[in-house]
Amino acid sequence: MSAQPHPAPPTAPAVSEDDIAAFVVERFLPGVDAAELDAEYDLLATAVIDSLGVLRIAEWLADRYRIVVPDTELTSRNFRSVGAIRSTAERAAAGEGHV
Amino acid sequence: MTGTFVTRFAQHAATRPAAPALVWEDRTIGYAELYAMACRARAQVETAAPDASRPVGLRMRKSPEAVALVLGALMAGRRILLPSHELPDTPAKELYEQAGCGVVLGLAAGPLIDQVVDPHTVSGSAGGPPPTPVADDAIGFMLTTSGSTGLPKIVPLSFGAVTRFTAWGAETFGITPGTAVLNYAPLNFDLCLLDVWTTLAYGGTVVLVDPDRGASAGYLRDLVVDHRVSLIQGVPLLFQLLVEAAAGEEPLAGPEHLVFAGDSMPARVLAGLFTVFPKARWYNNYGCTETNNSFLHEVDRARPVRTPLPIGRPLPGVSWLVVGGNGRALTGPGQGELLVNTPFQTTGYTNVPSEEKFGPHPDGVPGLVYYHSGDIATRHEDGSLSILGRTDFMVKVRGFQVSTQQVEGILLDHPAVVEAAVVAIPDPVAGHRLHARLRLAEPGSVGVLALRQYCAERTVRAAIPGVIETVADPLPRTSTGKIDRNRIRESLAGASISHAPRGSS
Repeated sequence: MSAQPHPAPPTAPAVSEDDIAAFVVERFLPGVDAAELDAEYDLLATAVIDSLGVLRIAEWLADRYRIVVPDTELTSRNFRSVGAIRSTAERAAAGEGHV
Repeated sequence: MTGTFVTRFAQHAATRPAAPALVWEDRTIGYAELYAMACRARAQVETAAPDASRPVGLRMRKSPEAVALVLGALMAGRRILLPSHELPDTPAKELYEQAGCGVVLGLAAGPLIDQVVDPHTVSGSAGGPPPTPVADDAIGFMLTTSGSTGLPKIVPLSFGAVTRFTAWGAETFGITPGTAVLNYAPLNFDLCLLDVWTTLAYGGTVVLVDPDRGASAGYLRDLVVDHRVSLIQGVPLLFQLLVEAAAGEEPLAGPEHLVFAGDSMPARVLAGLFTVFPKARWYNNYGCTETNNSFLHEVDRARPVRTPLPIGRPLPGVSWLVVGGNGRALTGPGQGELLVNTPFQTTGYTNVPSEEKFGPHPDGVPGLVYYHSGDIATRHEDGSLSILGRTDFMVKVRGFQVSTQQVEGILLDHPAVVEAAVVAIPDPVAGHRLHARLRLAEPGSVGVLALRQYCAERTVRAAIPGVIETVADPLPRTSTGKIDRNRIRESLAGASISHAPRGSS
């Protein structure tokens, strides 16, 4: 995805699983091809991310999509896989989280 | 004492002079010939090292002459310090000094060598007096630990300890005149107490592997076949090479006993052994330089083999305890450090304090000195023991005790993984983070994600390496064939920046 020079549009941007996978791989799985990372691959059980990793991903969602995941949603289960991260981000965007 | 392993060797030379003692390249050296070489070496040792109370340093590569020099020095009743010839000059010099060596002998001129001994010299007498009588507790061999962290420790072994060990080894593995035993280990290695010194004390034939060719699978296989080797003891690498060499060849029907030593045997290597050695009995050997063999497990080949192999039963005369975190001996299942006392053990280190590693234990047999093995043992419901790893390999990752060796074992069990090293790197947040470096049988045959999944199904999350790296080249090895984890750790220390967090855009 290309960089966005302008402020985020007023409607929630579509959160892309490819984009999440690319970030997870770059940040936590050096050397892995993002295309190999299945949306349902369990990132917690395989110790790709831990609670600190959850925070890093939340920070990235805020930077990239201007989506703030509320504290109550910052549970590891909500970040268990690329798919789960997308749902979490979408829920947050639909609620009060989106700035 | 009445007879030592050295006097037993001399008796074989007298009663069976033509019997083969050593095989080296395409030479066969008979007992009488080896004895004659040892007598000439002995005379030269006695001249070069007149003070019998001081140890003699030896520095040499493996060869029949080296075997003769060791025998000659022992026949002279000398203590001999035998470090690896690959030890660099500076630490080697320090070691000879710490041992109090009066002189350092070798077979060819070189650094640190005060005098060259020639076991073939014509002027020397090929006969001579019988081996000097020695007391049971007189020191003969002074072996050294591998020194993976700093200067090697000097481990003196008495003539009595080694003689008792050779009696056990010969009986257990049926070493008698005519038995051919492969010697893979370098001559300074404790495994030689079985391969070389037991074999010579009991009239067998030692088939010496040239360490320079020790990585050649075809060479090793030829030695085993051509010389009808019946006992093979070695590190997993040796067996891995023999399995590789067997591809497309007849099975090796000759060997009767395979003894696994030094490192835990990966399941994949064991699986290969089934077809290569159809007749052999398999033994998992547990011991160390300080105590020598202390446990032995014979693998039941008829049943599914699980790794890590158990260490089995204590040898006759061995006492042991597993001491838990509270400092008391376990009486039931649990985990803790294994403490052992063997009839073959050293009295303590020569060059470093021994108190930390040797001492009585309140829950042990009164009066016995136990060696703190540094190995974490699991005592199972049925009383059997298996080794989880070295205490040195136990690290804390996010508060969990993790054995990097155990993680290596899990990765090695994956069919696509040929070699695995897991090292712990200090981490300010997690305590340690684990880095795995793997070599795959076929590059790209398994991905990092699948390997992580494989680990997740088999161990706790803290034990799953933070980084799993696959490489194409063989992993670095030490001179004894073990994976050189220190070198891997050093290579990562320089490259750690590449795993640093990258900024998100």
